[in-house]
Amino acid sequence: MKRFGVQIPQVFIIVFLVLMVVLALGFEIPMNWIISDALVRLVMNGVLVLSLVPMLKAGIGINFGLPVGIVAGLLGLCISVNLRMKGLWGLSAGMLFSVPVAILLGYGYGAILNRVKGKEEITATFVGFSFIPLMNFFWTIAPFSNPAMLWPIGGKGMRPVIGLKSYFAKALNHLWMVEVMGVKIPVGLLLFFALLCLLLFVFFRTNFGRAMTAVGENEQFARLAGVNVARVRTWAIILSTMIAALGICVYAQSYGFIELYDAPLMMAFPAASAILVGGSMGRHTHIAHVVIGTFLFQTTYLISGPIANEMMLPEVAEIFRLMITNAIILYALLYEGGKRHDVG
Amino acid sequence: MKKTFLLSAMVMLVSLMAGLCFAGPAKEYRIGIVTPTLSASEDEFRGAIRVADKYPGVIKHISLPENYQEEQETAITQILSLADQADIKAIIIAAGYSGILPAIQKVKARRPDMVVITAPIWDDPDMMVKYIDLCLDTDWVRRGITIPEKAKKMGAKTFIHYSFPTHMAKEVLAKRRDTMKATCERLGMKFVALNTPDPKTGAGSTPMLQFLSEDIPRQIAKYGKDTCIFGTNCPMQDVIIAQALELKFIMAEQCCPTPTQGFPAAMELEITEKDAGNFDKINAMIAQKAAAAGCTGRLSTWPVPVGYFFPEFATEVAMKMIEGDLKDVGVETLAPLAREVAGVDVYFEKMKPELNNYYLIVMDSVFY
Amino acid sequence: MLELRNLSKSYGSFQALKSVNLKIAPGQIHGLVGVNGSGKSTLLNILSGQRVIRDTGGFTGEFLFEDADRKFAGPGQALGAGIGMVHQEFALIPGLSVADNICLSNEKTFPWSRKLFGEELACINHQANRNTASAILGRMGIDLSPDLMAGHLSVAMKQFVELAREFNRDHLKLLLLDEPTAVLGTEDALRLMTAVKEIAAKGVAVLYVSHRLEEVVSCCDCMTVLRNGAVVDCIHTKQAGENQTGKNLIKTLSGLMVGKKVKKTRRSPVKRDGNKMIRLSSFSVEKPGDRLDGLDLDIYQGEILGVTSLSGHGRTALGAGVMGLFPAQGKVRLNGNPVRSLNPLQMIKRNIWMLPEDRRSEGLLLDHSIMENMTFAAIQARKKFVQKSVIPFVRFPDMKKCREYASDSRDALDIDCRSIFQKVGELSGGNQQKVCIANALSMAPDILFVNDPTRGIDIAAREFILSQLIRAQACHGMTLIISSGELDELKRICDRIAVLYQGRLFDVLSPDQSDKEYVLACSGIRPEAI
Repeated sequence: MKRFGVQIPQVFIIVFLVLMVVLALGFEIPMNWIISDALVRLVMNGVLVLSLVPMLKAGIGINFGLPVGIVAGLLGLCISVNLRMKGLWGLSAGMLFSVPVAILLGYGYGAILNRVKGKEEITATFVGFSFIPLMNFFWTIAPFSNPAMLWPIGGKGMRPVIGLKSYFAKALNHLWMVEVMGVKIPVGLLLFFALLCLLLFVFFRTNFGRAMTAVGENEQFARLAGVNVARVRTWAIILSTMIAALGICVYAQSYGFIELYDAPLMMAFPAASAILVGGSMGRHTHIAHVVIGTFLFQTTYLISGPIANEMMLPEVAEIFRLMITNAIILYALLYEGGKRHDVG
Repeated sequence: MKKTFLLSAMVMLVSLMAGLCFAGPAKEYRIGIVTPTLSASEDEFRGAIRVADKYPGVIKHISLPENYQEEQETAITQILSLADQADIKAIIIAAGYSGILPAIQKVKARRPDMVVITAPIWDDPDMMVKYIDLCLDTDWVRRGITIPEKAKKMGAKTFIHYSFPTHMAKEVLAKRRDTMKATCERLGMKFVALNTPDPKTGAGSTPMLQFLSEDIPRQIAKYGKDTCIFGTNCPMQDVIIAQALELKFIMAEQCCPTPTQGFPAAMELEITEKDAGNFDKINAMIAQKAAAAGCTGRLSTWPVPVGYFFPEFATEVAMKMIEGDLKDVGVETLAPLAREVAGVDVYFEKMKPELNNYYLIVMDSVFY
Repeated sequence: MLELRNLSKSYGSFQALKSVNLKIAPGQIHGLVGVNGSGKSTLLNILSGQRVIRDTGGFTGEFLFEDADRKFAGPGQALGAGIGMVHQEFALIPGLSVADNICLSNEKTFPWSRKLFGEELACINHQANRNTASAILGRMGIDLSPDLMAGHLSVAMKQFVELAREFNRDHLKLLLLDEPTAVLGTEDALRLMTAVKEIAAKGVAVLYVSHRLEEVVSCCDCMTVLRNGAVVDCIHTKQAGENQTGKNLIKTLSGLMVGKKVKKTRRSPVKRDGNKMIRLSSFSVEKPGDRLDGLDLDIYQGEILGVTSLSGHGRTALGAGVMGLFPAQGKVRLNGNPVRSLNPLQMIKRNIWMLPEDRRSEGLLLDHSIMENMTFAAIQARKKFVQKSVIPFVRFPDMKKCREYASDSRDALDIDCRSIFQKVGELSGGNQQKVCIANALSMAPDILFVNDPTRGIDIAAREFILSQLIRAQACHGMTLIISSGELDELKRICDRIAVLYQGRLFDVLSPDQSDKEYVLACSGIRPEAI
């Protein structure tokens, strides 16, 4: 089992998922809906999960500071909406605008994390949490002018939820949508995700990508080989932040709303669970972990809701959901800790 | 003769002064309004600002600490500071928090003449009525009857109730759901209670909203578009209304009925700074958007948010009480006043038959 | 006391031990020798009750200790039975003081608190522990303050503290020593052996595992030779006969270990006074536990310079300091030009490189393939084995060239592996060091600092590595600076040997000078003084 990278969380969640698929068939929940939604969910969350990879590979740990990247993406989207850009162009513009913001924020975030070597994860969590109140303040005074984004009563400050329907909601979801046997396959969306995965995969084949992996595995070795460790780590963080910014763009267009204020606060945790479900163990992370993990994790979420409603047992589904999200993070932390202990 | 002249001059002077004091907009007293901060609860805050604009110089508006739960002490001090100012004759608390009653008890001990109106606070009702002159709140449970009735009127055959375990653990919300179910049965509608992922247990409201946007199309495919969907949680409304525009089902009322909840995000209302707070204009915009989406008659809500309505209404009541125009509060005295402020009928009902100064309200609706 | 009968152990299909028989009497020092992979570590793991044995299916055969059949489930049980072990990898708690580490789980407590709170919660008598610790350290001839943090100690000192902890156990009956002198210089090793003999004299049986045959021969009463998991022979020093002493015995042993004779690498020193490649003046390095203080030294082009000292006297600090891994002060001139900033990238640009002493934690990417390890530095710093690319930033390694280089190096350095794509972490120490050397050669440096090149490596691989270093100097004209505690090896291959004492340069000796002169120099004593 261990040889194939299958660990207890994967076994647990696969068993759970199979059980639920059987139940869903039993309750005659339409599977074509479920599959279509599962594909959409895979990508809308997958990009965010993908953003964890560079930092994991560089040995910085799970990016619990995901909100930093998300905020960069939200800012990019807001600029695009403010300019009233529509359709795929609007979305692309939003992504484009968010990249420089992400680089800037990522640089600062990286500077912080490089100072706290060994305690990155807790610092990242803290940065993520404290960044949100700061941004809340910013949102209330943000100088945007499109009235569709401002508070309906006071006419000042950003709304917590901004509708995107007349801008670029589902722009990517509906790109090259193909319907096969009642299952809607968002080809454009899937291709976009595949492209991102491929780019990241190729990146880790380049010299710089290799240096990043080496820094993650053995910093001293990399330093001796002439690698500028701090620079590589900073770039890993910037890269993570950038992908997270793209991730929220994909997420928002699929969801149809931009959610500001506290919405990004907890987003790091499902993403972290997803990659851990995929079998990622610290710097032993592959793109496949992202895809498998996000699919298993999100599909479990997706399918448990309707089943719980059919079974009239909402609390049970809720408990399972919590167990999966949190227990998997806990398991991974314990496993990591245990491994370190064995070596020491 | 001289004496008569002097007397008449005196009388004129006194009556002139009295007239200045009681008749004109300038009053010799002030009223304190306590609301949460703008980011904690927008409606109450803006409502208070609106009254302050209506009666310049009369309203003293203070806002409670941002994180009220952690800083209750500060909240109590703030309220007591109002009682220390002699010219303040009434305090209106529109907060929607519990734990404020002790502050009111102290205010009343220090200033028995102080008029206190809560709209609302959530402490023990039996205790509240002893200290507070008028307690106001929305009639959450009775909406369990009014909403399905309205849905029926709008043509609904099925009524879907979306909620989640932590909400259903709250007595008022569970009671409302049961009332809705009973009402639906009485009216011959199919009642469906569905659960969403719980936003209070970790991952926030994101999974819940994602679930809704996936589940509503499924349910409409199952029950048809003559279905009324009701969600118990505020963030749900954005998704429900957005889906309603697409799938043309019925949205009779949000959890907090107001044109400013759900509609602005779902319809991307572009409300200019000039029109912000102008509900007639906003309602017209919504109606126009609904017509454009082909949803005329499918969406409804209360014309003004209760949170926005309460501060102004309570101020009017307080003024009448201070000036002695209103001795006994009752449905017959409050309703006309409320109608004047809200522009639609407002129905008052006693919270418990034995409590004479605790009223729950339900407003008349606007249909788009 | 300890008797093993037909002990066998296999990991999956690989048989690590094949019916091993072994007997140790109380007070006996029993040597266990064998090349890497001959099964020594497995045997020790069984004796010390490591969990890995049970987790991989346990062992077969009989393991009798004090006449009882044993099958330990964990190290705690072995400890309880009176078997102590000193690990090759240190099992000290870095955040505790030396005294606390020595007395760990054997602390002296105040009697009143023992009565009051019970054994588990009794208050620790730190003063008594300190006294115990200094007494033991004194007996071992170690001058070390018991208040220092274990984490700050040099490797050699850690080894002594580890040993001291085992000595401190009251009911110690069998002591397992796994390469106790691997990290020690000759002088330190002698001290350690004296301490071991002392404890054996008290009736404790000792199983002594070492690569250094000289030590084994000089201190053991009996030696078992393992080869490929089986006992090849068991030699009793006293019964071995007249001609089987000293050097002859070592030859016999090494022959038994590898199954063939090992030829010692040797090279005659060359005196040089040509181009001064590096000139160091008052060069100081703040390497914790091994600091260098005010070194003035010239290094000539093309020479092999040995640097030796006792552990903790600064021999590893020179290379690390020049590479800029630790803060350094003083002047460094390279070919006459002063070097201002010392950092790895600068040094690589000037064709200087270093092989660190701790291969596993600094010298290798254990999770990566042999090929990637061999080519990593060259790709990163030299842009060697790199494809041409038009897009900036995006440059890929040239896999074909990498593969070629790796397979050539594997053949040239005789690396024992399944393929060049095998993970380096799976290789034995000697092969890992060869990968490090291949990595260094790919950089083609003019100057190469090598720290402890033969640490923890068996005799066959050891000689091969030394011969490769000589080859690098001869064929590529490299200047080598080899720091090592292995005097014998340095004397065989170096042109000059610098001896450091307490972080300062004590003397530069010629390889021809006698061992006695070296030992004196290492201890900071001038021959004239005697």
